[in-house]
Amino acid sequence: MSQIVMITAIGPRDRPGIVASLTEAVFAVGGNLDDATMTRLHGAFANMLSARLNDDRSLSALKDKLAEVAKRLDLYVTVDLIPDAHEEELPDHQINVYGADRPGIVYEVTKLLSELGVNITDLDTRLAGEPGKGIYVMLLETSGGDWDVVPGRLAEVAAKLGVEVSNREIQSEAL
Amino acid sequence: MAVLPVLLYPDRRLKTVCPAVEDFDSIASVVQDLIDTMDAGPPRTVGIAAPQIGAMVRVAIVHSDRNPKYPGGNGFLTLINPVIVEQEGEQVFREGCLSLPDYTANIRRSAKITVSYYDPSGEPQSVMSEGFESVVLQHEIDHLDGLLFLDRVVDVKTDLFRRRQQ
Repeated sequence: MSQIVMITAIGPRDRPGIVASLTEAVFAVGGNLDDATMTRLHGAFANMLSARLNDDRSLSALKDKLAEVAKRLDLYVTVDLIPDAHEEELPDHQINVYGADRPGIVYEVTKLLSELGVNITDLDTRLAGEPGKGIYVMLLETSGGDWDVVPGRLAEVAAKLGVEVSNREIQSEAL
Repeated sequence: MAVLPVLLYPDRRLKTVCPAVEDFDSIASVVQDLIDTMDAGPPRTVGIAAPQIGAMVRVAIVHSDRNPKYPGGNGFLTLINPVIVEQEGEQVFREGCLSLPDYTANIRRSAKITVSYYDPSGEPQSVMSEGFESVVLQHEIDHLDGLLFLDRVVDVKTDLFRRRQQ
């Protein structure tokens, strides 16, 4: 029976060939990649990917191959089975937040969203600028929540943090 | 008149909606300050809006031909109380901003616009613009509404970039 596996790989230093080595391991055991995201966080390599495997034997072989990759490329790798979810909540709103960097921007905004029953489906942030003068940018995609209430409460948190916040509905049209 | 420092975000004036100019005699010095400040800036600076030098009025200057990569604009434009009255199509351009020096971003804007505005003598004018110049016009008019390009970023992963350290 096929199963879905989640692989995370983190390394202190980005270098050519990491993604190729990780995906080669999946390919070699007959797995098929589905969602994947890779980025650099403060120069470190960070990768998450999910793949469909054919059977338990593939999982065991994959773990062996990834252990070898981790050792060779100085990575911390985890491999876990995850439920085969067929339905995903689609995001219905995008929220842009930016401002002078300070501790607590992500925490305060996401705590509020949690309290309002808004689920975060995607979150990305960037920090640029000289130390102490950085501008922090965060974009979120969310689903659910009462959007008659959310914008006003977000504005209150933004005012408290001294940051800008805007939101827009994500609309998809079949064209 | 004067080369003025360009305000940097998070200066609150960059997030403020500017009121319309009513007394055209009062803005000659603002226009000259904008010209002097643009001339003193990086050589390919092609536009600047009054709030970027702390003048909270709906005035901007645009001269896209200063960037030799994008000839064919409408020359030097002094825009007072500009309004985009027609727009069509869309384009994506990698934008930077004097007031946000650490970022650039791919921003989606209208491809072709018509802007109504007043010239410094108070005469109504209209200009049709497309391509690079229309991006500059939309960027500067955004400044008059307290909008920065970070308000228009759609995807951090694919559209927002840290500028290389100088």
